[in-house]
Amino acid sequence: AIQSSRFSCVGFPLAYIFLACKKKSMALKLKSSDNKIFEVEELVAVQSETIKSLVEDGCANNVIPLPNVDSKTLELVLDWCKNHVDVKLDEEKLKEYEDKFIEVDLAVLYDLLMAANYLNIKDLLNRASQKVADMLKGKKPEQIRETFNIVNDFSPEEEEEIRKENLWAFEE
Amino acid sequence: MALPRSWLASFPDDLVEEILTRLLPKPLVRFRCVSRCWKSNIADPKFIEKHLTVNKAKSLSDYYNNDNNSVGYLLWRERRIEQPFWALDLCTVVCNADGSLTEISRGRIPAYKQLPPVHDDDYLDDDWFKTCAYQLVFPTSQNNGLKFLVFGHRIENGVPSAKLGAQVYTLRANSWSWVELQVDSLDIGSVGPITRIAPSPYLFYKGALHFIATTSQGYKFILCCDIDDEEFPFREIKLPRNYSNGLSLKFEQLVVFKGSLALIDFGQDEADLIDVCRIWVMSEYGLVDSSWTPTFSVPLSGVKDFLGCTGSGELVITKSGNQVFLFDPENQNEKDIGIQNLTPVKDLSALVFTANLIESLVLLNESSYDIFFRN
Repeated sequence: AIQSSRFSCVGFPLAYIFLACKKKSMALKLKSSDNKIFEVEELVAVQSETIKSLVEDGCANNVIPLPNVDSKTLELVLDWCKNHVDVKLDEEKLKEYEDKFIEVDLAVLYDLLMAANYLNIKDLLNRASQKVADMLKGKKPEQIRETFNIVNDFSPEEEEEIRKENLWAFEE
Repeated sequence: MALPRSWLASFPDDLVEEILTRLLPKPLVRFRCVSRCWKSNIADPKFIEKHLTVNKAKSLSDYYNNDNNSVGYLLWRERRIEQPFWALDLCTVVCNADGSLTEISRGRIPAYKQLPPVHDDDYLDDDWFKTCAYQLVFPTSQNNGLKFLVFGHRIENGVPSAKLGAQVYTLRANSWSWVELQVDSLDIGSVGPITRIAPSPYLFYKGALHFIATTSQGYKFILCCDIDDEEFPFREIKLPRNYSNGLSLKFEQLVVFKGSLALIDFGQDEADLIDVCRIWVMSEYGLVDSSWTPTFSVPLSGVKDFLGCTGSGELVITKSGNQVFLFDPENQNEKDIGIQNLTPVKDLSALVFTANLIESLVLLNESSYDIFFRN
């Protein structure tokens, strides 16, 4: 009995210190395309799969350059990440936050999508893609061509053929 | 919202695909005439599989978040005698918890595929099949493709054999093949071969189809079939012991009740002669000797048809005149959801209820058409 109590006296604080060290998140430095430095907690930044793999490969000791993301967009993205660190957050509040976050003009939405894709942040990519999909869903093929700047390479007869086959999809 | 010209012109292809997987089949089918490249991308089996995965996840999360306060989806089609049964003119509505309905789409499925007749090429013409039950099967992985499962009696020397057989049609091969209707745990010596499958609807749950089957000696059990497995293995799950004692059974059905597999039966209590509905819930899924809990036994009269359960455990039933009701077995409240106001009763047929609906693209021949299915 004495032995076991001595064991727990030593063992407990050691384990505690070990846990405490492990839990404390390191700070990472991210550099935007316009050379602004953002200091963020590792836990926040590793929601980006791209940054996570840099950290895992030990390439995150110095400043991490992000040449595809400007400071305005990075600030927004990091705000998103901060709010998604603890997934056990109040679900309703999180949903409210996300709804508000994604209410941005088209230029910002574009930048967010590109950044989420480049940084590989799954939930942000989901949310932003859904937003664009919702804007496209009611459009006509001509409007889609304009938005994506796509040249119609069908002959008028071919296009008519596809429309005829799928008339129901063109009904209001 | 007006979208600016060339707004997404410099989008990388993977991002465009990411966005397109989030669209429903209707706009996707429409966007097939954007360009040759879009047409082939939208019909690509890999895209279709990704689309199914994304929409499945989305539909489940919408369902559990219960954002729009909906209780489920009701599908019906208008009666068109001249059409084969799989050419559907479908209407989908969301049934809201407050009793109102929101129509979400009404579309005609323009093309259908004529399946080849059920028989095996190796057998002679007179050695055919008398169909008794059929089910369209959607494996969770698109690689396995659309399937059609048919139970029936083989005609031998001009008379249907008592023993049931099964055939599977696969879209990819465009042909039927026999599957062994063999259940390892079943002691054929004492209970006899399977001779009957109860009429549809059949239950799809945890990647498997469930049928109520009966053997020649009158043994009744749940026949279960894993549809993602190429071999179509059949398993046995026992029904609750003596569950129909004291009840003159009208009909019974397998359902998903609050996330668990359940057996629901409607009938008349033999003791006090009132119409009742009883629900048995299976506590642990997947075992042959499963444990069943008698969960409800409540009076409920005038039920014409049972359509399914909502996520919160209300029963969707029809009474005379196709009026659709929600019945809560907990407090025995009954609510008319007002479906008869939307479409004249005479046009109603193929009424289907599901708590969870996904629309998916499915390839028929080389083109893509969308069809609706229950999950």
